[in-house]
Amino acid sequence: MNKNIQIFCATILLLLSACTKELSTNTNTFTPYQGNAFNDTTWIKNITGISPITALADTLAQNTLFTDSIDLWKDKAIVFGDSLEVDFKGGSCTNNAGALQDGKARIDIIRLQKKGDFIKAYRPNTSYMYLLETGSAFFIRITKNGSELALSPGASIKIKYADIEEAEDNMQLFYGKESLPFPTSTFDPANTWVRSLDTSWIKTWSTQTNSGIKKGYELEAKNLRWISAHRALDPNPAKTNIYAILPPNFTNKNTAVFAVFDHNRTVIDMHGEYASRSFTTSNIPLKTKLLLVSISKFGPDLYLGTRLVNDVGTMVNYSFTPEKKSLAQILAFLNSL
Amino acid sequence: MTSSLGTNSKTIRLQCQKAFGKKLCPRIKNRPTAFYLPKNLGLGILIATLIIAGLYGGFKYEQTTNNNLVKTTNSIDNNSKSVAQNSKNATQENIGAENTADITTVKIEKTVAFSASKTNNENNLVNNNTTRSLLLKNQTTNKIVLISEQLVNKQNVNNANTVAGKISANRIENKSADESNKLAEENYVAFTKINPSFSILLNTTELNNSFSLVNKTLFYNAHDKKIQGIIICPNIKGRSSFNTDWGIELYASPDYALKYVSNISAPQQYLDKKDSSEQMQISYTAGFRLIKPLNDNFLLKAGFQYSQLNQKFSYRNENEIKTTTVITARTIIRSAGDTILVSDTSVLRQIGYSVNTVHNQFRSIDIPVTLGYQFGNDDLKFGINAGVVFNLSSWYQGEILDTTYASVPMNKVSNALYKTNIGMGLYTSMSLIKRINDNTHLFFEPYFRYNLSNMTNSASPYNQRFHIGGLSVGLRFDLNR
Repeated sequence: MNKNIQIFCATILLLLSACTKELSTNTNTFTPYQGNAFNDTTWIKNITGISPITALADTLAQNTLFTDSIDLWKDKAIVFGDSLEVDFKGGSCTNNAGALQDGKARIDIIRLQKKGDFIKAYRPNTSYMYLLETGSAFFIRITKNGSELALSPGASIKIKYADIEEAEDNMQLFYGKESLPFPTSTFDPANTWVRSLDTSWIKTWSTQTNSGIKKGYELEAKNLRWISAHRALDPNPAKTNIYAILPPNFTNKNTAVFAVFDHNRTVIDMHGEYASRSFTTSNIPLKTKLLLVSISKFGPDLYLGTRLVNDVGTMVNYSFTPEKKSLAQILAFLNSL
Repeated sequence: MTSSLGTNSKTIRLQCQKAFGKKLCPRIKNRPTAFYLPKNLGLGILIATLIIAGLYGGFKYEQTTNNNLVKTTNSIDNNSKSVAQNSKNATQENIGAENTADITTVKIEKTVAFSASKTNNENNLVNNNTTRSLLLKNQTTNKIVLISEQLVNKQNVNNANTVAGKISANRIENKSADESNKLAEENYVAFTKINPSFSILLNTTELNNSFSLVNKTLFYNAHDKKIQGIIICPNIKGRSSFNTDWGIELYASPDYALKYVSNISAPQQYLDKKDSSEQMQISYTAGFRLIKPLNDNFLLKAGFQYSQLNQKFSYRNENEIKTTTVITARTIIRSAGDTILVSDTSVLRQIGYSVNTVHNQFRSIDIPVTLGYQFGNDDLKFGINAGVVFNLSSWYQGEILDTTYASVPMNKVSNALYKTNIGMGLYTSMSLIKRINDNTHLFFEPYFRYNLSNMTNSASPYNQRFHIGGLSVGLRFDLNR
């Protein structure tokens, strides 16, 4: 009996001593959401229309739209404030079949001035692989009964505007080349600026106003839709490729990266490179100071990342981590560029 | 030697009870009325136990000795006539003419008789075997006869010689234990020769051995003056006397708690969420109970127990972000023909849900007080018990869902939700008790505890209490048999 009592006493003592121990054990198991865009770290070779980046471009397309109505058979000077005037000549619009149109029509104008405007419109300042510096760009569309019209051969539309920077004398007229016509899709990775056959310098102007001297350009376009004043950056400096490296969550399906030049009004699209799982562009002049900007979309969530590069060439690969931002924050940032 | 004797006495009693029934066999006190603690427990426990046992044993011994002296003197006076009457009819040639025993006291109530015999010789045989302690039923008179042996002083011996001088011819004084044993066996042989009926009755080897062992035990006890004599009082008007035995039960129990929640002011959605996040698990209770038998059937139990209720608390956190540091090596081309390998350390973030699992523990210290009724034989008994459980202290540890659906910790220090004393509970159980040796029983006791009070305090938006069911398994030890 003594042995039994001993065993039980020891058991009781053991149990009582357990009172003082912290036996509560916690376990934490994490399960990623299936199908959540944030958890998709795969890259694709060809961007498709269902990729989040297309929705991102549409979301960012927040440039100001000017709208007015015109009589297709009458001349009209459309004035937006004191910095933009569009002179429309009557009898200059045709439909898809080439027939002149009359009657009422609607004219839509989007104006790209700041570097951030080009990002929002997803219109980088490049002509194929060459870098450009812009003097503003416009999207002009005339529609009648929902059908988009074009300028008849030989006809033109004159755009006179005051620029936000000193007007340069060596600007040329460029037209936008599209693969996915805006506004069907803002995201058009194949878009590029193509210099007009008329390679003459765009006229500049200046005038005295109550607020001071205004200077700008006056260009005459023979095509509608994307019209811009650009000039090529100095083709002579040594150039290099640069790479933006983001965390694995940020892929070419959901992220757009731009290189925003500091001293030039130039925005370059850095396309996603499948092989290196990074965003890259070429022909960046050495010693250039620029700002790398990434914008990503994961479902309803937007991420913004920036990386300032003071001296391209010292390094060519730049890592940074985007942070979650609201659309308003991102637009405010882009407008500040 | 003491231990061996104790074991023999128990065996004898068991065998005697098998042959004659429980009431015909005497209770043999062969050990002090103290609770033995193992020697190799803590020194302090041992010393304390020895002191307590010594004090108690000394007090008991002194008290018992004084009582014996008084009772013996009285019984001699009261019974001298009966014994003398029996002595006249005794056939003294068979058992010797002279009683030279120094330590013989006979206590006989009303009629001295032995077994079913109706002859005077048998009465003499009873007297001749006064070294045995037997409680037998006189079938003729239907009276209980008690013959006991006690250690007495010289004065008592003289009285005994006067009263029953012809009872025994055997001298046992100053004999060694072996001699006493041999003497007892001789007495037994003589007894069986004289009393054929008893010989037939005890014809089995087992019973012969039993009586032999009884003799041995009693002779040893006679020489061991440190052990008090045996006094077993007869029943009064057929009722069993108040049981002076004590027992202790040590037990442990796997438990399962049933949670009962009633709403006061909490949103139902919250209670649903809370309920789904909590899952009771196997818990346990351990403790001990002192047993005081009120009679052969009723037991009063009180003790001390520790209970721990286990609860698994799982809650799901949505939109959790898990970060993993990854190192990526890339090959980049700075310019045509200029390729470099770039190693980059970045952080992979994944969004998902996390399930946190916390094992909550609700602990309490209680005092159970129960009244039990048990029945059955010595080997197997059944019992039912009912009583109350008084909570001394309760404390909790773990996490709980608050009304904002956030997990908040609770512990001994910061606990604004639960009481530190949950009050009283009702207790009921059934028990199955199996003897595993003379003093030890194994018991199984399924029980249910119904708590009368809520464990939540008045500030809680809901009431909660636990009702506990379990199966106690333990050992019951007889302390002073």
